This record gives sequence, C-alpha cells and structure tokens, in this order.
Amino acid sequence: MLTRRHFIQRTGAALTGSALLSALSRAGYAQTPPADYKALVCLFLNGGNDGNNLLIPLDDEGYAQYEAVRGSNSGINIPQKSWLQIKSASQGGRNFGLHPSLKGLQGLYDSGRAGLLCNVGTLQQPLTRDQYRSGQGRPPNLFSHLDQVLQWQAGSGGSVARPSGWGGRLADANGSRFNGETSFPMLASLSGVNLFTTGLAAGVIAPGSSSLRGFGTSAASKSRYDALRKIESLDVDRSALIQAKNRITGAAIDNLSILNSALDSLPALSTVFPTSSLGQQLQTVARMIALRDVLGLRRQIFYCSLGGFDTHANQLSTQASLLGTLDAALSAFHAATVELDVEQAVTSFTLSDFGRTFKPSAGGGSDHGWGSHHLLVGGAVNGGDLYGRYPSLIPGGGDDADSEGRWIPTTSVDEYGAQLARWFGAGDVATLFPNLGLFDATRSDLGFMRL
Amino acid sequence: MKKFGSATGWLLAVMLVLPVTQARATNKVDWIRFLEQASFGPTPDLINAWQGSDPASWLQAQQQLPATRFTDLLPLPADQNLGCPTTDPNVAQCRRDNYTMYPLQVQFFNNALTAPDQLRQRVAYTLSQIFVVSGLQIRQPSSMVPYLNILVDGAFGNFRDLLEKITLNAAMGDYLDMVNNNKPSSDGRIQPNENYAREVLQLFTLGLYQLNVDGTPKRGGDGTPLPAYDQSAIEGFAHAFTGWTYATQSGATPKARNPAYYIQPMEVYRSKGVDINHDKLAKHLLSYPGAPFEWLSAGQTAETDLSQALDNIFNHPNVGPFIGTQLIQSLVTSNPSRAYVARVARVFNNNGSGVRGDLFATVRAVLLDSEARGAAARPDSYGRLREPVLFLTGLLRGLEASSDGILANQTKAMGQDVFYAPSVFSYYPRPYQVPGITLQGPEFGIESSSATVSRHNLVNTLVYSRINSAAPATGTEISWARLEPLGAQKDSGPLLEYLNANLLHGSMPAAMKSIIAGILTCSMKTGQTECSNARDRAKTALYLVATSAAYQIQR
Repeated sequence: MLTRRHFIQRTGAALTGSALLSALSRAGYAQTPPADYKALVCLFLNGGNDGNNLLIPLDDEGYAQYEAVRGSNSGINIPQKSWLQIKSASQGGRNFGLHPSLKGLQGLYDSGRAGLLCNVGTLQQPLTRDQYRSGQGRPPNLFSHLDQVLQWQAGSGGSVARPSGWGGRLADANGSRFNGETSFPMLASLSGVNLFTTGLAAGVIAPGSSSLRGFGTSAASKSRYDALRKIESLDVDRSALIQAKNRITGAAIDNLSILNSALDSLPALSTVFPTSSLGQQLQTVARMIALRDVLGLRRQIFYCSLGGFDTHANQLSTQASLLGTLDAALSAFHAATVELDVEQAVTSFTLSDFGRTFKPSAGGGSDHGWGSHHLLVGGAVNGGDLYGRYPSLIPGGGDDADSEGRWIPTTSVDEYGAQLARWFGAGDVATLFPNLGLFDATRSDLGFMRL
Repeated sequence: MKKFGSATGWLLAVMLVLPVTQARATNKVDWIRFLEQASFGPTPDLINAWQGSDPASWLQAQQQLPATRFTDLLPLPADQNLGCPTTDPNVAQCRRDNYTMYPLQVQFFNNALTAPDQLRQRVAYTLSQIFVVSGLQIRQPSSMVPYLNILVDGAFGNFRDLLEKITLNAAMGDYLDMVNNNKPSSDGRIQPNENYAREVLQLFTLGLYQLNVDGTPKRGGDGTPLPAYDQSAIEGFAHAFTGWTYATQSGATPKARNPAYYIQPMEVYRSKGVDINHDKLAKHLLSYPGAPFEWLSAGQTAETDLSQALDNIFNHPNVGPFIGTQLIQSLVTSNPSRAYVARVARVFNNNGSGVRGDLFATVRAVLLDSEARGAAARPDSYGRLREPVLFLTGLLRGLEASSDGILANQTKAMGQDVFYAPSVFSYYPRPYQVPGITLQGPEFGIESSSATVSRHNLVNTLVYSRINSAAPATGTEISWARLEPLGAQKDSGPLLEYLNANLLHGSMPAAMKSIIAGILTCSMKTGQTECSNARDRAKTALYLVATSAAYQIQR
C-alpha cells in the first residue's frame, strides 16, 4: 500500500505546508468524516499532587480525622468553610469537599460531567497493609518521582516487557483498526517526550515548533530538500543511535508539516483559553480535535502536563495556584468540546507521580506518598460521584503503608486505565495491562464511564 | 588480574613516553573525537594543534588553567516590584537581568564558546545536570551564582568536598527544602522534610540499586535488583539534615528562620549556644560493609551529624560506578561497556595515590580510556546524541562564529532551557531507553518532533541567516572565511573533506558525500577558474552536514 512516506519519495517533491496536505487529500489520505470519534486527554500533574488537600470528607467524622492531622497549626490546613461542597451517592452519601480552587470543576461535577476516582495508585497486585508491612508485592521504588511517573505511565507496576506507555500500547493495538491507513499519529504530546505516549510501534507527534524552514520552490531548494531526505535514510556506520535519530527526524518533518498547514487554515475557536502553559496545551488539543476529519482520525490520544506539584514546602499557596490553573484550563477545554460538538466523545483525566503524606512536613508541605484521587471530565463520564474507595484518614491505620499517611491504593493504575481503554473501544484490555487479571474481576467495571 | 613485573612495567613506561609523537602524527581523527568529548566542540585552531598535543598532555594543561567563574551579582529584594519598580524606564531589562537566569545564560554560552578552561566548563556543566538547582524555583540569578561557582571550582576537586558544599548551598537548600528543615514538632505531627535526603541518595550519589563496580545492579536470590536504601534510611538522613537556616546577613541578628539569603552557605541556628532546631536522637543511615557512621550517635551537633552523614554516603561502593557512568554518558557514550564503567569507577575509588573521589582523575580515566579513544572498535551502540547545548556550541565553535552569547532561546526551542531544568531530574531523565531499540540514550528523552525540527531550523538560521539580538548586542554569526574559498573550487571534494574532518571527524559515508556533491553545481563565468556561487555551495554543504544524524550523534 502507499504510505505517506512512499508518496513523498515517489513524487520526489519538496512539498511542505498546504501543498503537501492537499496532495495527501487528493491521494485519499484525508478520509470522509469519521463516525464514532473518541479522544482521551491525559493531564499529568508533575511532582505528585497532594490528594489529601484535593478531596476531603466534610461529614463530622471525616473532617475530624482531617483536622486531627492537618489542623490549623499544621501549616497545610484548609479551613472547613473554604472547601467546595460536593455530594457523593457512592460513598455512603457522605459530603465531600473539593479544593477551593476548583470552582469550575465543582460546576462540572454538579452537572454530571466530572467525577473523581479515589485512592488510585501504582500496584502490581491488590495489597493490604499487612502484606505491605511484610514486604510482599510492593511495587519497586515507591515514593521515587521518576520511577512512580514511569509506573503510572507504563501501567502494570512498570513490569511491561519493553518501555512503553499505556497510551502508546493503546495506539499500537488500535491504530489501524480506527484510523485506517493514515500515517498521521493517533498519539500527540503537548508536553514533550513521555512514556505515556510511547508505543512499541505507534508514532507520536509533538506540536509546537514551526515546520521545516528554509525551503522554497526553486530547483536548488528542491534538490537540497531531496538530498536532506536521502541522507536521512542512509545507514551510517550501522549505528543504532543514528538510525533512531533519523526515524524521529523523518516522522517529525512529515507530521509537523501536515499538522501546521492544517492548523494554519483552521478558523479560531470562539472558546477563550487561559494563557497558562496548560491552557495553551489544551487549546492545541482542541484545535487538533477540530482537525480530526482533515487528519483522518477516528481516535486520538493526547498528553498534557502541568508541573510544580512537589510541594515539600509552601504547599498551600503553590497548590492553590496550580489547581487554579488546572481548573481554568480544564473548564475552557470542556467548553471547547461543547463548541466542537464532541462533549460526549472526549474524556480528560489526571495522573500524577503519587499522592503525598497526610502528615505535614517541616516547611508547610508534605512528602512523597502513594495512592491519591484523580479527576475525570467529559460528557461520557458518569459524573457527579466519587468512585473507588475513599481511605480512612488515620495515620498508621488500615489504609496507611506506614505511619505518615501514605495511602495504599485500593484501585490500581491498571484498573483505571483499563476502564478508559474500554470506553475508547480497545479490543483487548488484558494485553494492554498485563497485570489486570490479578485484580478482582468483579470490579472490572469501576463505573465511572458510560460504557 | 595478572600483575606486570617490573621489567614489563619499565617497558610500559617507555612505550607510554616514546611513541607519543608517532601517535600524534597518525591520529588526527581521534584527536578531534577527543575534543568533541572534552570541550564544547573542536575549533579549527584546536584541531590544527593536533601535531603538537595529545589527549593526556592537553588534560594536564587544562587542569592547570585558572577557572573561568560566574560573576557575582547583587541580590535584590525578593519582590521584583521593589527591586525593579514599574516606574523605572528600564523595568523590563532590570527584571531580565535580576529576576531571570538571562545574565547567567549569557555567561554560560560565552564561557562555553570561548573560555580557555574548556574541560572544566564542560565537566561543571555535566555536574549541573547531576546536582540540579533550577531557575524555576530560584528566581534571582544572584542566588544561583554561588551554586554554579561551586561546580566550576569543584569540577577537578574531590567529590566529598563538592557534596558538602552543594549540600550547604542555600539555593540547593531552597530547591530541595533542606533550609529551615527542623526536628519533629513536639507533638510528632510535623516530620523532618525528606526531599533532600531522598534526592541526595537517588540522584546525586547512589541511584536506586546496589551496584557492582561495573555499574550493574546487584540482585537478590529471586533476581530482583537490591535497593540501595530503604525508607528508614531516608528518614534517618532527613533527621540528620535538620537545624539549618539561611546565613545571617552581616549586621543582622540570627533568627531561627533567617530571611532568604543565597550568597553564603546555610548555617545552624543556635539559641544560647544550642542548635535547638536539630534533631538530637540517634539516626540509622546506610548499612554496607565498612560503612562509616551507619549510626549517628545521639546528642551530636547539626554540623557533626551532617559531616558524618555525608561520609556515610560518600564511602558507599555505589558512588564510583554511579557518578562514573554519568560522566561517561555525558562526555563519551550512552552505552558504555561494563568493563569501561568498572575501570572508571576504580579510579574514582582510588586515584592511584589512595585518594577516593578525585574528580579530575575520574574525568581523565573517562577520556583516556581505550573505549573513549580510537584504540577500541566502536560497536553499533556507540555514541551519544548531542544535547541541544552541545549541538549548538559544537557548530558555533567549529564554524568560528562570532557571538554575543544570547543563545538560550535557541536551545530552549530544542528542549533545553539552560538553568531552567524542569525538575531535579534535570533536562532529561537518566536512565532513558530510546524508543524502538534497546539502547540507552538519555538525550533522546527530550527529542520530540518539535525539538528535532527545531534543530534543523536552527541550522537553517545559522547557515542562511544569523541569530539576531536586540541592539546594542551583536547577535551570532558563523564565519565563511574558511568555507567560502573551498566553495569556490570547482571540485567539491575539498569543501566536503573540510566539513567531514571538522564536523564528522572523517566519518562521512561515501553515499552521503555523493548525495551532497551531486547538488553542488558550480556556476562559472567564462574565463574564470572559480565558481561564482561559492558561498551558496558552502551553505548547501554545511546545511546538509550539520542537519545529518551523523553529526547529531557524537560517535
């Protein structure tokens, strides 16, 4: 079959921008508008967002547990009256509070378009405190940023055969099934290279830079472009690193050219996005969703990130500011999905390194923890409720790995990801998450998505 | 291992001394490779010195050169509205110069491009990617200068000294929360901050797993790697590192929490002579055969606890292979053999005079090793992706560019915003496996499609234009003085050979030469013997060589 690269080689043309796009359209790459469109948008909160100040119980018993450890002299107390109240049917009808910065998300929650999954984290198998204390079944390198980020993004406790993320594997397994022969990647990262969007075969595009510059329509320009692309396909010294670099370069030149020319001709959205980095990332996501027909994509997977959550000190102001940024960006993004008439087809969800210790640390912060609560937004989310099981906030208690309030997750990354993958239409979630079978099959439907 | 007899030793000594001039005369390629590893890029002048020098002598000469340090800057109030009020007509420039890393970025690039002490600068830059402090947290450049100078001054010193200076540096104290990290609160609810304790072990000295001297992890009976430390050790160090606050500024009264001040190292707060914020209980640290200070005794001062805690870390057998591997990966190759790591680690462990942690000896071992030098065959896995900074400086030095050093936006577009590392893992994480293959390639961790096209576009700017700066700064422009005369020759061979030698140390494949030669059309006017499109031909050839993966992978 004719791939885009072959197409370029065959025509031998230094096509960039709209010329390439229209040529591809003529060659049948931009298909008829895809039906059954869906997109997953991963928002990674870098540094380890403190779930214990994201979502707390506001009933008397629950708030008393909160206040016993994070009271007014703890350095990280959020007063009872400041919390945004939300209701949850599934947690015994208890009232909960959302962080005061999340006013937009509170609205989405109340209208059934946002939910939270409680105490989810990296696990290789279901784990009790006793098992953990005896050293059984612990994921490797708990509480280490880099390792926990990789385990969140790889799934299955990081025990996948080759480094790949579950977004990447989802694209590997379902790319041609949904997106046909288009070679434009299903995966897009708005925040550089990451494991989540790394597949074993699937490509990924990182929008942002301009297309390849410096080539015009002259014969000299065309021959230099041809030479560039030929050199890129040479096997120099049989060097594996040179070959790897050439693969990245070739795909980048092709895909950025297609994307940028398509973006250039796309009318602006009327939704106004914040100027924050995350706001701008999500604006590009929205615009790439708007281009789904042009790019011939029935499925897209996006990765965005927001950093600075490693709040060992000065947590109150830092987290309030970051969650405010998140709230504004996510609210705008949700509005854009409504504008684009894909509200039901786009699901955004958060991941983060880990939660943080319930006990405060010196300097008005908290240390690296484990299980935490995560946000889900979109019209296909069974919103207005909490899923999973909220931990009992007792240091040294049954949910604590030690005595600092490092919650042992009661839902695994695998279960979380598998549920999103099922909604996305993945054929075989057990292959995506090799450890999934170790978790209780009866709770395979966590309920947070409308399947 | 077989020991050399004295006669063999004598012979070896003679061999080392005598054939050097011969080696010089036969190995220009390796000399250029050496300069790629040991500097911010070979310049034509350095390359031309190949007949009068050799790697070992050059290293020795570099060691003697005075350090090019970062200039001290004046701290301003933390609030930039006070330091650079909006009423100041130059408010934007004031803020750029005093509240961003801009002045340090300019110094960094100027030093990289022109400082004589290239090796020290290159090693200091590598160390800045191990002992990370980021401008994302530390807002004033004046606060970063002492940290950067610790690295420049300590690049050839002892690792133990460097570790202590870095530990007590106030910018590091702020970045990883050792400053104002106090003993547990009386009710036990607030615990010492674990941030520095964890990262000093995981990222600065030991890594996650117990290592053999060759850098491979030690494994338990079930095959899983053995952790180098556990959570209780982290808590031990977190308690050991309590009691420190910012230095008391001259004329001020010491406080339990001194105001932020970055020019001097952190100090211990004492009330009536007692370091009351320091935890006085005994602490359990790292346990390994021969470990000094596995336990810190109860009742010790903050200074004694800190010193002993650092001794406990420094003597751990991981430090040599852990630091050695990172130096090799930063300077030479992403996938060193185990034997290479072991040779370097042994020099870290003992520099030959019984000293542990001699960084200059360790760097020398990295660069003079047979696996770095041309002596050994280079496997398919060999080399490293030039990170954006080295990609840019390598081109500018190789092409004798004039530059004002205002280059940070160029590397930022390629994914490396100098002194604004996104996290304590620096610009890119280690380890990092290159997608699609089974090799390590840390620099690939920022090689997104945007970054990679930005590399090509940077080459386009340098070759077909220049990097402009706002006046009065002069911008950056490469020199055509050597390339244009070569471009004028009808035979494209000399032009290609020059680029091949100086940028690719002679590794350009024949197919690449013929592709480039095939489009270097010479326009010659009647009666002339030289091509009239000399500059254009030089540009075409340079663009294609500089964008090639053969250049971008240093090999």
